[in-house]
Amino acid sequence: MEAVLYTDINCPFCYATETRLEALGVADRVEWRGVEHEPDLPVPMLRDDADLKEEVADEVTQVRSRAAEVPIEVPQGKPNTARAIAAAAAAMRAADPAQARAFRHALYKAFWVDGGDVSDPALIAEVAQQHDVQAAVDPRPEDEMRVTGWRLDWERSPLRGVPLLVRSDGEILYGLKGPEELRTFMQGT
Amino acid sequence: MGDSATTDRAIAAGCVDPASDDGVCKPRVRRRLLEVGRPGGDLVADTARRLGTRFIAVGDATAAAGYLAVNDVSCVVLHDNGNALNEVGDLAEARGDVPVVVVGPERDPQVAVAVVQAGAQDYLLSHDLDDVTLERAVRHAIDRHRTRVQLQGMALYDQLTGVANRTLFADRLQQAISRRERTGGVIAVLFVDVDGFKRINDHLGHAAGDRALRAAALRIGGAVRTIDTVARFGGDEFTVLCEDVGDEMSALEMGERIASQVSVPIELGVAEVVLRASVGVVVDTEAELTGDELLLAADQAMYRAKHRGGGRAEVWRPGKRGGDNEIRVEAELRHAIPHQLRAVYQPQVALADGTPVGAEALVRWEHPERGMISPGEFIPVAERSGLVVELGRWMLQEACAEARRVEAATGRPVSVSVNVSGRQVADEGLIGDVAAALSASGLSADRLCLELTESTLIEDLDAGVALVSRLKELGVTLALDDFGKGYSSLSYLKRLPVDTIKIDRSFVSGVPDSREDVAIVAAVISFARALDMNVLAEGVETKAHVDALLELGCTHAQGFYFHRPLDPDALRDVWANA
Repeated sequence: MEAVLYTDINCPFCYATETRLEALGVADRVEWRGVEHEPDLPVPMLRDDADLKEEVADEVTQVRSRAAEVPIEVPQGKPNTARAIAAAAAAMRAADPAQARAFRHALYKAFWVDGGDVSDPALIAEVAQQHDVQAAVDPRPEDEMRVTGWRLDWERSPLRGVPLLVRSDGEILYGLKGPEELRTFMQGT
Repeated sequence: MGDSATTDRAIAAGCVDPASDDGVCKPRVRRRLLEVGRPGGDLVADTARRLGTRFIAVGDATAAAGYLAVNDVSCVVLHDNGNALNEVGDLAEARGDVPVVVVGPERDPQVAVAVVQAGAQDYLLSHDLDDVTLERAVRHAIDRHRTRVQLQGMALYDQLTGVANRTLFADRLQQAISRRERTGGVIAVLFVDVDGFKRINDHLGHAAGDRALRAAALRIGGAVRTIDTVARFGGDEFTVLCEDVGDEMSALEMGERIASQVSVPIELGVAEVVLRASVGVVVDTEAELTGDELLLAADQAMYRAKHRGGGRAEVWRPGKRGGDNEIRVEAELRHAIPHQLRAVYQPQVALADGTPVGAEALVRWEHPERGMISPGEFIPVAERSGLVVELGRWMLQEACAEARRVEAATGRPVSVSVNVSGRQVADEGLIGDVAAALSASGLSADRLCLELTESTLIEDLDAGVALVSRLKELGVTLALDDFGKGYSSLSYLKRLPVDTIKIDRSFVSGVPDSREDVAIVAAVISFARALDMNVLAEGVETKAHVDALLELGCTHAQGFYFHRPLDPDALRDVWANA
């Protein structure tokens, strides 16, 4: 892989970044590493926390202004992503890369477009079923280990946020960037 | 990732602003960070600011327990003032779902280990602690603690269906029995066997089978009260525990509701499938049965429902199909496999000169209190309960291994015969069990003979023919056991590629005195010759039997005249001296 993307499913900037990488046709050159930036979000997702809803609405507004081409709706809360990230890791282990990528993207959309709670195993199972990635329903310990490794790597960086795109030569992009900046960055790989 | 030094250079060069919030989601902990026994200083408060969370400080563990009882806290940071071991225990008792990180001066690693064993997620040394390290420790503590809670959940709940698993069910059943002993009441246990998954798995794939299983679990849960416990007992079997169920009729109605709900068609996208549930119900009004016995009774009633066509519920009552004694035998047998079982071997010989050519493996049960229990007592129970599948698997493994040991000890090949029950024939794991036993022992497949009864195979002749063919593909030989007792027709014998016919002892005992038995034995031998099969006479006990059978053209035999069933050492002696 030519670059690594540290990302979280409940981060709208990550969702927009991944959508743009897909649109640029370079997503297959980027290694996806899911990290939980808010590990104490409850399961199931809280839908009646006013502060949280306000914060998410603000983030979505930012995405809409900076990435108008990305379809996004204001969700009713923010889900815990531990299970979804583990499911994505399991899919990467068991399915071919394009299939695993499609599954991941569907998880993002399930939350950012459809407002679903991606901490819900039933929702993950449904998305897995739709993408024929049964392994994602029941991640193995090796998948959890892989996720832990990603998190430890991410925590070594002084850049404490997502999305964080790191090129194989060490160059980085931090935060949601425009298509041109992403294209140029990936051309340098 | 790229090395952090490169990232540092990028920051230093102004290419990246680590403090930027522009299009970035920063790590954070949302709920409160609770500091206990604050010694002064702002370390935890600073960490809370880094995490974007609210911060609360209280003086000691008692105050913390009070705060935790009514507030939402992500993590507790406890300063060790010399009593961390006890305080961690107090906090865990107050709120076991909140992780605790201990900060203290302790340099003795054993103390730190003890504190972690008491429930803390981490022990950090205070003298070189900074807010970055503490932030990371808090985030990891939350993560680790959640994983532990999830693992505890996984240990008690079935991951596929979300209902309780066998362990949790057993625990709830035991609790219910204890409660009943204190306060009385009626306990009902329902055993639900759902048919139809094999067909779904075979035709629509395992993902569809799993969805159907989840649907079945939901249906069962919907048919019982919310206070009842539904568990996945294994495979396609579920159990339900109902306390204070009222009476037998109420429990039976619940069972019928389950059978009815499960049979409602399930839409699986590509096809609509229909499952069928057989439900066994046991209601213990007199507090007479243990947990194991309740389960076994429900299991037996379930089999009766199944034998009556399925899609229905049946109530178990003492006395039906053997009653209490059978339940106790079954309960004991379940625990006896394999530790109390012994395999013995009855040699099979060439009738002409008594040379041993093989041995039939037979099971014995050495009960620790009741001594040797007759196979006639426990095999039928094993058959009815389904335990015979496990027992048969053990016999296959044991017999193949013993045959290899005899071969190794004597340098002579041994053909070992193992009986296969009707339940095993119906079990889709039989082929795999045979292959596994051969593989594990290293026994050549042609030295394993499987003995099947004609009644087992004739029940579904097409399936029987298919099974026999698959077994033959493994390279094993096959014998038709107890021949003559059942249907015994040339037309079906022709379709079953067996190698040996075993003439039932009831006919052998009649030769040479009974004209009818002599005629039957002669006919069987003719059958076998016509189809190029071997013939082995069972129950040969006298010289007269031997002479008559030789005259009729029988080639092989087994029975007390030659050898009684032998333990493995004696079998080796027979082979060594042959």
